[in-house]
Amino acid sequence: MTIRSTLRINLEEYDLAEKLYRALLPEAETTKSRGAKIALKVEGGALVMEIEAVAIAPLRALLNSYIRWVCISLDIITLNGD
Amino acid sequence: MADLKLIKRGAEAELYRGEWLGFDAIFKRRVRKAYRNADLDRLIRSTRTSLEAKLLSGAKRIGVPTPVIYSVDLHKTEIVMSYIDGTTLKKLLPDMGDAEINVIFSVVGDCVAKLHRGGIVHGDLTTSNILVINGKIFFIDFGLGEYTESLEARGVDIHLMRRALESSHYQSSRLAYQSFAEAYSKTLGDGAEEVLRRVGEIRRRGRYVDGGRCMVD
Amino acid sequence: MSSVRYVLGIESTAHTFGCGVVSSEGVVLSNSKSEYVPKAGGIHPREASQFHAANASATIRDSLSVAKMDLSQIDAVAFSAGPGLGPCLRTGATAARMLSLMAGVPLIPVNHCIAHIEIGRVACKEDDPLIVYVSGGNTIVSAFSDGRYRIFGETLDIALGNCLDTFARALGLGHPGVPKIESLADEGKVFIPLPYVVKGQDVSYSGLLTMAIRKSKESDPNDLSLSLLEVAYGMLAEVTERALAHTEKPSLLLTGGVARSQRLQRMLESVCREHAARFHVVAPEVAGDNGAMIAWAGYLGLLKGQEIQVEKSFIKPKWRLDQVEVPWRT
Repeated sequence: MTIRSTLRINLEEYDLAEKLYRALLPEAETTKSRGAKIALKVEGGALVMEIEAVAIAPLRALLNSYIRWVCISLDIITLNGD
Repeated sequence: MADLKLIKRGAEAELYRGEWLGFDAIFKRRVRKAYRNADLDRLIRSTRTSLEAKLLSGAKRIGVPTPVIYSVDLHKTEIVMSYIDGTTLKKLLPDMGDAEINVIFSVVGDCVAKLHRGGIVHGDLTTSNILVINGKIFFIDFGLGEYTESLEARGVDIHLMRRALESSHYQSSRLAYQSFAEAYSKTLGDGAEEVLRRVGEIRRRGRYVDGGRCMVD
Repeated sequence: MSSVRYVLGIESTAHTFGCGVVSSEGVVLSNSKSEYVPKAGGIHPREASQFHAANASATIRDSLSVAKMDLSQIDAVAFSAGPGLGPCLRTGATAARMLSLMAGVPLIPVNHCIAHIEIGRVACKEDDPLIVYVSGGNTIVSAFSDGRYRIFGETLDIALGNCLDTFARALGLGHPGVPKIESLADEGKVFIPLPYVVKGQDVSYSGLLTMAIRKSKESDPNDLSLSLLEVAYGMLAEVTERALAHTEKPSLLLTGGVARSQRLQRMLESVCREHAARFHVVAPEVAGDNGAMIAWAGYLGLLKGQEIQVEKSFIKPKWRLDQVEVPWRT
């Protein structure tokens, strides 16, 4: 079985999407997750994360990690805007 | 025994040189440590004194040069042994060439293999605890040694020596360890490979890592 | 690089997510943290990292607000790249990368152990002390030599802090364990023999822990706590004394979370007195894991060009203290 999931985070600015991409890239290159892998790319103003997993559990684990990191990153983007 | 001269105040013991029934002798006295609980202190000093005396003579019996024991006093926590007019390997090593290092550490490797084969681990194999005199080496300070055949204890014994080499003699540590390991394997034979593999394992263990034992990532 | 005035540091190796700001003079302007306390048992890496993720931005905001700064005033971002638990390190590293990108300033990877040493050294103003670094995850006796902090002694199994915390949990003393064990020990009278294991310059705490827990069913908790501390600290004091005698360093710096223990301080102070060495202990506010120490070590590294590209800022869960070049010392 293969499960694919695509997460698109639209930041509406290429510059921001690219920063998010760079912040996550070292993790995407080194996270050794059993049964799931992730590829990152920037499309226009969006960060696109393509995840491929052999089962639901590893998919969920990987998604959870990346969603958490994206959340922190988005929070940091808004730091100076307060 | 009036003329005892303090020659070294070590971390654990005071070493005096003097005469014992006409022999040139070292008096090793384990001293009370003020920072330690008194009961614990007494226990540590007397067990180590008694064990060290046994290990020193045990090592000699299996062909590893050590000082001769003249007397043991568990109440005074004192061992009297023959004085050896050598220089510590620690002092000699910085001025040694590669060939010399190879020769001396081959001898060290051979001796440690003999100790291990004889069921002894030294427990504190630093270059300060190896005396050199005319190319012959003597092992001293068995205060942290034990009688054991365990693979882990042997591995730790060698690991400690390797780490001591790396922290005090980083320039020559690689060569010294290589010569050591070769000679150790030759003397010990079949079991050596397993011990040296364990040395590598001990080195890699998670103890450098936060989270200690719980490291599961 | 003389323009660098303020460095922000992110700590995220184990229980603590920390964010601190320090100035180029070594002054701590803020040091915010949130600490993950496991409901039961030891640290669970994934749970800890979830906790850190949930608290990261609030901690960072708090740190900037205490320092009365916004991100644009920060000149560099440092992060603890290791050693530590992978999931925790990843969370901290991601936050640090984003901070560095948003502020447009250099990113500096910091070795967590080095940070504990340098934050202690800057305050005690000692040039070359022997280091005793004790925490929940580390027990290291170290001295600087030939460009690096060399390890003279360490634990062969579990760390001192881990040993004491686990014992405290087994007795139901709660968290943090060390102060509670210490106050029990103050009432202790009878010494109960426990495994005292010193091997060369190293110590071993796992046998001691096992035996102490086993004896907890039949022994008076005050006596047992006293004995555990006497043995555990006594072992450390012994290897410290050996290292002092061996290295002949003029002073000693006690650092890390367990450095707050007054009993340990008294014991090591006594060792120093015997060897005519000056004794220093890290300030309690920066003893445990914190962001300010990462910021300060990052500042030192940045001065020597230890900046890293964001794309290459990988975490190093097993990064040993003695693998790190320390070019700011000679």
